[in-house]
Amino acid sequence: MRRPPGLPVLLPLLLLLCCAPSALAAGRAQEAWGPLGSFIGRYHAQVLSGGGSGVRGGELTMFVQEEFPGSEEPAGILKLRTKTNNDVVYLKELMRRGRARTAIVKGGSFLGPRIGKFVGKMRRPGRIVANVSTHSLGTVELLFTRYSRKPTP
Amino acid sequence: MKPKALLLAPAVLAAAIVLAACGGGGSSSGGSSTAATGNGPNATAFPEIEDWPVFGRDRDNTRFATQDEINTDNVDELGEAWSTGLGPDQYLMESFPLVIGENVYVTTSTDEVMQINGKTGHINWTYTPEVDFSQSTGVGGYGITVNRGVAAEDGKLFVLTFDNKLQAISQKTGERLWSSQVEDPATGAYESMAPTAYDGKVYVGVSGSEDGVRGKISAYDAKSGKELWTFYTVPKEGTGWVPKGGGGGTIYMPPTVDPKTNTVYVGTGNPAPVLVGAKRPGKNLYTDSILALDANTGKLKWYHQEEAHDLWDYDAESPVVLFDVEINGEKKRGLAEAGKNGLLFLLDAETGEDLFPPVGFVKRDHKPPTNKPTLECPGAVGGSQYSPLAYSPETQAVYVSGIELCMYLRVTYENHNGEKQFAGDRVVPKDTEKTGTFTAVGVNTGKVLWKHDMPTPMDGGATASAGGLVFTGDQQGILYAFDAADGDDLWQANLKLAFGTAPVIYSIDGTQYVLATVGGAALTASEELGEIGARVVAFKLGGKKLPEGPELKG
Repeated sequence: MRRPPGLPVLLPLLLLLCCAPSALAAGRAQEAWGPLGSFIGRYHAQVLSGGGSGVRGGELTMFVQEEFPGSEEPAGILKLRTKTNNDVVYLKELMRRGRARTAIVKGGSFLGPRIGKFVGKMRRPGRIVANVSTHSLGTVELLFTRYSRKPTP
Repeated sequence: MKPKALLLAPAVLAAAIVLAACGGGGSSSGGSSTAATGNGPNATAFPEIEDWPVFGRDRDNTRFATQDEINTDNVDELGEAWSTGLGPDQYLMESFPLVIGENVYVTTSTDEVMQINGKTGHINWTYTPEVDFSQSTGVGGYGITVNRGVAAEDGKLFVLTFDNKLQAISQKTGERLWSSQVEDPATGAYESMAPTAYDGKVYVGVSGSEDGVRGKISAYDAKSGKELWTFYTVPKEGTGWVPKGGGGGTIYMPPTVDPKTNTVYVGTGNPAPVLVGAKRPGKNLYTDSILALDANTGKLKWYHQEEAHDLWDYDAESPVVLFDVEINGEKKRGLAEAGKNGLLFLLDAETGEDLFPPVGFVKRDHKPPTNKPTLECPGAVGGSQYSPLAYSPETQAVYVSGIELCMYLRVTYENHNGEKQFAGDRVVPKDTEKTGTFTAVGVNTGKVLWKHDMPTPMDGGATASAGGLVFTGDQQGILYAFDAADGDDLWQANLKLAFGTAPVIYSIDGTQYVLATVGGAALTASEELGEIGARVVAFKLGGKKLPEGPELKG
């Protein structure tokens, strides 16, 4: 019979388990959606199902924000085209679990209020299917396909 | 609160230079060719019209409405006529509307242009340009997109999009007529300003001083979108005082055109690198300056630098106001501009020389930042940001919006806040008071006539009227009407969305309206000062009463 692991082995593991989510939320994990190369860049967004949202398509830019050295944190700018508006929202606090990729959605700017969520799956690097929900649009299902690994114009 | 990078309001530092920063000692001016005479009454000032057809209503940019139906005697009867939201997930509102005929023209922070019926609030049409908003990744991804409005002339509207396009659209239908790229996005430049249209030309600047963008003002042909001339506000990087990767002197608000003297007046932003002054010796002309340019050629007539070798991010950002004044029996053409350094400048519009010593309107206590955090007042987003002044010929006063917000600045010699040329920290102390001022200053005396200490930073600007009123809004969403002569707090309405703009005033079928665009400024979001959103709210006498705000202390 194997002896159960002792405290010296368990403690770091417990600490890792308890602190990992907050570390992710605080943005210290630069690979919150996995390796940067798997998701940084520019995407076309195709509407799979939009309900009554009126969203016709859009663009997503995933990049690494830098507030100060050491603070680098991946984030996203999502523009959704409706009949009359450029609906621009901002993705923060990127998280992953298996193939799942999530983020909170902010309005107005990265400093604006939380107005919704991004819940998706990465099918393969550069290809994500996600439900994006905001107060105004409701929920729209989108397919994001990366066309450039460079986030800047 | 963590330090925040403000795309529209960076800070600056350096280590070596001791600036005579008080009493305007840091300012300087220089002349070149003589401007045409501009003394005497200006036919373009205070037109007896019902519209609000240009940014400041008249060519002098006074924001003075000649209507007096709403006045000091009846302003307490002012109530909401209509209120219109501007679309899904719209947040922030720095758009200063125009009103032509029965229609209001307003932009959103995502660059839509809307025509709204001024009587009912119905949105007649929306122009939605294709815009690449990923441009804001260029400043570390903390870029905040705003759009400060359109210009109108000859049946066209002109709008600048965030990704550096000047577009002309039909005033009647919103159909796009032409589009011109005014700057390469790869430079890090972006657009936030409203352009100015006059006599077949559209005057345009670019934003992004904090990212080392080279400032410029250009004139474009209003019919074709073809560039006519460009005046660069600083030398090319690697030449003159500008080091590699440096620049600055960009423009955030619409120029003021004086048709009588054929002069374009415009204010410029900070030098870059923002915090490392040692890398940019000298005064860093023409940053933080008021420039007077020939409207046909772009040739410099004179400049007046408000902050030489700026170390604090003290842009001369707000738009220039012109006025006629008599001082000691001598008639003068005057100019006013309120800087982020907390000083109001009253200048001779012909020469750029001071009419009076600069007038302080917020606390001023700053010294060159070092590698230890130093509390600097005003902070990088204090003083007066882009907030337009109002001028009333009845009181001969300008009305100044002030931001009381000190900041710790610290040099790091590293790239910080995502801004390539920043190299330092800007932190608002957690327990600091975030308040404001609203100040009336006589243009014929250079003296403060009255002043209110306001409960929040004042970022939207002011609007005056022949009814003896001056309007301004705060970060709590309260719109105030003060007696323009003595500052009496006559009326308030709580709109519950922060102000990032000043109202406009117009009349339709004999009814006078006061129109507010509310939803907050970039400052509102970054400093969490109030509720953000995007609404247009019109008031008229006898409209629906809204709740008032708290009584002012001062």
